[in-house]
Amino acid sequence: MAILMTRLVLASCAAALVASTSVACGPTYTMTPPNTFKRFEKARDFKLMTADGVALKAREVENYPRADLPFWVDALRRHLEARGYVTKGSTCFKTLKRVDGCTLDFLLPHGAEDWVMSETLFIIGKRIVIVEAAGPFDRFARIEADLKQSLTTFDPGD
Amino acid sequence: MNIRRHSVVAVLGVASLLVLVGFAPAASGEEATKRQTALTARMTIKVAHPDKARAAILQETKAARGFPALISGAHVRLKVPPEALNALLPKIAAHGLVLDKAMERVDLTQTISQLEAQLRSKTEILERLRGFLADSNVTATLAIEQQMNTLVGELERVKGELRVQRERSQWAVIDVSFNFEKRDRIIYVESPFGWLNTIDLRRFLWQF
Repeated sequence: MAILMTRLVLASCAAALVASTSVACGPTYTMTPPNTFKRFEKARDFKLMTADGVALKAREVENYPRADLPFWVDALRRHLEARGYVTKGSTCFKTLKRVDGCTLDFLLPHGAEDWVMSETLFIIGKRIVIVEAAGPFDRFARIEADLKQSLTTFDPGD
Repeated sequence: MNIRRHSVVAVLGVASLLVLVGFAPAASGEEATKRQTALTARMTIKVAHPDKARAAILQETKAARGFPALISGAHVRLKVPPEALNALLPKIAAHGLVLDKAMERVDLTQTISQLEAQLRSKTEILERLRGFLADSNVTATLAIEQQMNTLVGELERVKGELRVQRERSQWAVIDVSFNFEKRDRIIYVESPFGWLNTIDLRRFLWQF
């Protein structure tokens, strides 16, 4: 009986561990990427890359202090400009699921090249979902229009 | 003879002083000259295709009666007539995204006037010394020739400097860069909003 109880307890713990691991895998983002991007299917994170090195990755942070999209877009722009990034442009849009998003593009010197860093923000209640993309200026320019289109298909999940 | 020798010595003395000090007062009665200015415009623009943009900019410069003074992969230096500068700058800017622009204006009027006055004075002194050669003995001739050689060297220097300054006022310079000039412009600034401090290109690439 004692042995049976021990086995039952161990089995429950294992199940709980599996469940917690599943929950801790993180949110599921979806997006129809441009053809030139390939997803790292086996990675925990939502990340994609082109053959010539333009990278894209999504993550999220806590919306703290709680604020709306215009606030965070303004704060992000001011912070990066204070650091020396040059604002290349900004666009606000609605995704296919009617979620508001804003993209800010920045230029900066990186090594021997000048790079573009693109930050797209979605505010989902207590979460800020950030889709970041970066690449050398000439390579980013080639995928820029397609990427903007793809971002409208981004689903940050619930 | 003593008076003439004293005169030669006096002129040589004055010539030496003028050569050493480099002072040449402007001739009296000169009219005020038009202001002469050196114009330099600097612009950093990002373009998707630098080769195409460079070729187009060179064409536009040629149309404005200018010429390229320096061409490299990420940088061109153009010289254009000053009156064409204001019309050409927006055409160059239209080729890409302007990251940075600046204009510098230096007044060269006084510098050029002083150089012209120095040139006149030294030339006059040289002519006077030449006049003494015919009547001087061997010792005086050698002394006069030595002073003349020094003066000729000074004259060439002044002429060269004057040419440079006149060239600066005759052509406006446009420096166009296709890359950030200051490569270390990114600094660390702490934001009170914690997650903003994680927005960084190096960090993004390292954690990708």
